[in-house]
Amino acid sequence: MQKNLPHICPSCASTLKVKSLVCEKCHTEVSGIFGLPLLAALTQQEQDFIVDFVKCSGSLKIMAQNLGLSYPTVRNLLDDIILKIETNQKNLKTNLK
Amino acid sequence: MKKWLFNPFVYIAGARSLVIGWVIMLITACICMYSHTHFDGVLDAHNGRVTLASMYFIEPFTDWICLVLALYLGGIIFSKSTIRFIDVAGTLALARWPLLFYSIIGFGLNPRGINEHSDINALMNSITGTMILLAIIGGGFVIWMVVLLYNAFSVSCNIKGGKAAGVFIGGLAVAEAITKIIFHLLYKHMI
Repeated sequence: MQKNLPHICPSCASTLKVKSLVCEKCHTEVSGIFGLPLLAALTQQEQDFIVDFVKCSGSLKIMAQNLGLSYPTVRNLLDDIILKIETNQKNLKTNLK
Repeated sequence: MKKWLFNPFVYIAGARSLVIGWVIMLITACICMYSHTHFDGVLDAHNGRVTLASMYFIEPFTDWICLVLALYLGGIIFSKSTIRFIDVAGTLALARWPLLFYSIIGFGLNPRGINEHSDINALMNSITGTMILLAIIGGGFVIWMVVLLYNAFSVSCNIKGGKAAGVFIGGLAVAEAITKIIFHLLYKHMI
């Protein structure tokens, strides 16, 4: 089962931070406060879309052919992701202030 | 299946939908010529009026181009995405395909022995139960077309929700008014 990385606090809805990282091999643990990368705030489906987009060299036409969708549908998906990233960036800046 | 019936634009748009839409519009116009069905407005469908054959072809293409221009303009103003004219034109052409069924229904919607000079009583007497039923079914096809037109606009311009509904209704009203003026002038000029 693939677990989704939580990025929003279930209690106060603030952005979550990474507190510790662990090596699976030697069990070395690194502690601190680390910010999550911007793309981690996206859903698995949206992250897959970005990976496919990069693999297609950024061609929406090829993406549309591969996904069996129309060009404007793929462009709309991309625009929705861009909007989400921009909103997350704004929220991140507000939290830093 | 539901998606193909009400929002096929998720899968098909651009030049492909434009060609399919145009072919269906041509076939519809040919049937209209024999069933005397007129689409003399973006949302209008009327029967019984016999006109020049060319009018059956001019009407649907005028409706389509007026709606494309109105909604493309609305899309440019209100959409945050970069929209393509070919997507708006193509999806809106394909969205008119339910009118093909309406043009066939039109064969049963022509009152017998009625012409432009007949009075209202003669017209009322010529209406049968079958004609009323066919008119209701025909209305269903027009509603189906409106749903398709809305989805075509929403997908090709990437506008959703209340904003999409508002721009769509506005564009529809503008296109309807323009087509009414064009057809009024065309018919006036022809007579």
